[in-house]
Amino acid sequence: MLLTSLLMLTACDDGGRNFVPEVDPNNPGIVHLGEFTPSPLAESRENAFFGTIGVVEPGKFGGATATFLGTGDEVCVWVDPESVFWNQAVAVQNRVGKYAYPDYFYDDGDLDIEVGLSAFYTGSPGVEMGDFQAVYEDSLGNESFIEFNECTITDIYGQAGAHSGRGTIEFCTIDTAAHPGKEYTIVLNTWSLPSDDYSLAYGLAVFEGSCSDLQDAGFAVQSDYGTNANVIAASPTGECFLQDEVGKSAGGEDLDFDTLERSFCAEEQTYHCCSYYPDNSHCSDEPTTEDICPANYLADFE
Amino acid sequence: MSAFVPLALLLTGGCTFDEHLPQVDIQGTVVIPRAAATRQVPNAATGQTEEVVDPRAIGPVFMGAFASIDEPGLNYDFPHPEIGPIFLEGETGNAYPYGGGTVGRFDFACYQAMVCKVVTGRFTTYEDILDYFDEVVQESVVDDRGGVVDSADAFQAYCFELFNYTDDAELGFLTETEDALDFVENTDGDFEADFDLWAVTYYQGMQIWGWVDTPDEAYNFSTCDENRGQNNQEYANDYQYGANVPDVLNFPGENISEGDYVVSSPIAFDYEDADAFRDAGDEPTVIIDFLAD
Repeated sequence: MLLTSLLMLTACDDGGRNFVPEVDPNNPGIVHLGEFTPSPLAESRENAFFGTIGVVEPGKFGGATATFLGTGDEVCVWVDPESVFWNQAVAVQNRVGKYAYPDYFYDDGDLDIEVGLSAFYTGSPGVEMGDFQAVYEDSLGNESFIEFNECTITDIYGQAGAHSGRGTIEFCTIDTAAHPGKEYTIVLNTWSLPSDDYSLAYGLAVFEGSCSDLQDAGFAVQSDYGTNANVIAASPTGECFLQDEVGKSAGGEDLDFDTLERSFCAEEQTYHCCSYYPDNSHCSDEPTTEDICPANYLADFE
Repeated sequence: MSAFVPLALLLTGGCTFDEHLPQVDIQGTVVIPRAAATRQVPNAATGQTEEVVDPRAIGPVFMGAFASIDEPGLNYDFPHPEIGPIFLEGETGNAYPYGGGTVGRFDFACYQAMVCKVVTGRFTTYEDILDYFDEVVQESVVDDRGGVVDSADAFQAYCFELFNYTDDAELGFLTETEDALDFVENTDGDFEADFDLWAVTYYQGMQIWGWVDTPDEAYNFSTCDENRGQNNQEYANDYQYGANVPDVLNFPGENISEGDYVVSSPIAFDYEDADAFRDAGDEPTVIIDFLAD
């Protein structure tokens, strides 16, 4: 009993801070990116911003903010957080081969978008994250929350309030017709950071028109294997609207990431990790089996 | 055995545990004017228009608890709950109700022609519906091919086939007995019904207010949307069953139209809290009396 008590007391001596990543002053967890000018769709890729978000001190929410002025028309806000993510197909029978290879999920982070008029934003850009909720008090003194976030993302049941998952693009179309010339704030809330380096690379594009306009914009992607795909505002090719957020956010390129991302957009990630480039650092290093990477995979793939 | 005695006592005591919930169930009586059950019906024999009073013509009654009720002329030409901020020109503010309920609701009576036409608690039999639409609405019930439905048996057979039902009790638009219908005529010649507003969040000073949606001349209800509800794709069909418009208590003024009647003297509760309300056992009578025009 005495030994147990001593052990428990010793355990209490650990504050758990060693489980919390350190703040890196060179990679802040709350950043303000300034004002963006919505680009014409054709120039949206080259005008995209790439950056990173780091760790915030415990007890705070992290993320990035930016602003733009209402154009009087629709504006698309698009964010692509590091990196690519897919759910591994684990079915014993009729497995979907392109998802057979396990994802490397230590490089995945998640950003959730909110967009609204800056007048309703409660945060301090670059200092503290906020939201677009206001409180209405009726004549009896009872309070109701009013939501001014105009970025409404619906789930598979059509209910508002959804967000994309880890490493997955997120976007929404904001109709600024009612407030031309008024400032809007884009909020990218950090939902999770990659656990391999606690630095989340991301790309952010703000362009004129609806996000669905991407369908006809003619943006294409080609995998190293030679497969072409049209980029649209949906998975998987939407992942390649903004390419290589990991390399570009560091001011260069990350060939490992870029080639895997393009393979993912062409739905060839399993082939890529099994056969084409098995040493890619962004492919899971879990031991693969004949079941996942069959010897005749190339033939099957074709 | 003795060890089970405290457990049994605890379980027994649990049944009487008062959670002091802030939500209350409000029961009472709602009275609507005779005029809300009156339709102008042309008489083919005389060529004259006659007034027909029929409680089956009473549309759904919407009731809610609100912070306060504005006088006519503030935001609407009829008494209306206070509203929150208006953010865009042409839109209205949310009334932020504390809760509410209805007396009767729209239910799909098997044929496309019946979408948004039938309210629960008004009819007891298929004949009842056929007679009412023949004689009072003067628009016979027609099937999905446009043929007049003149037989209760055919009506029932179509309903059972459509819903895979085997008993009339499964159809919400049929009430089992005359006694179970919502509205009865009172001694003043008006019509009254019991109402239940379940789980209303209680606030001292809140007021019970509501309105009855009366059908227009073409027998359309302003609170029903034909493009909502379950989709019917049986054979060549492709239409919705209809449902009441969303947020109907949040934006009442948007759904009240000419000919509807609203409450002009809302019932206010001054009990300190939900417990005091429950202890008092108050069962108010709400009178709907103000004609919206």
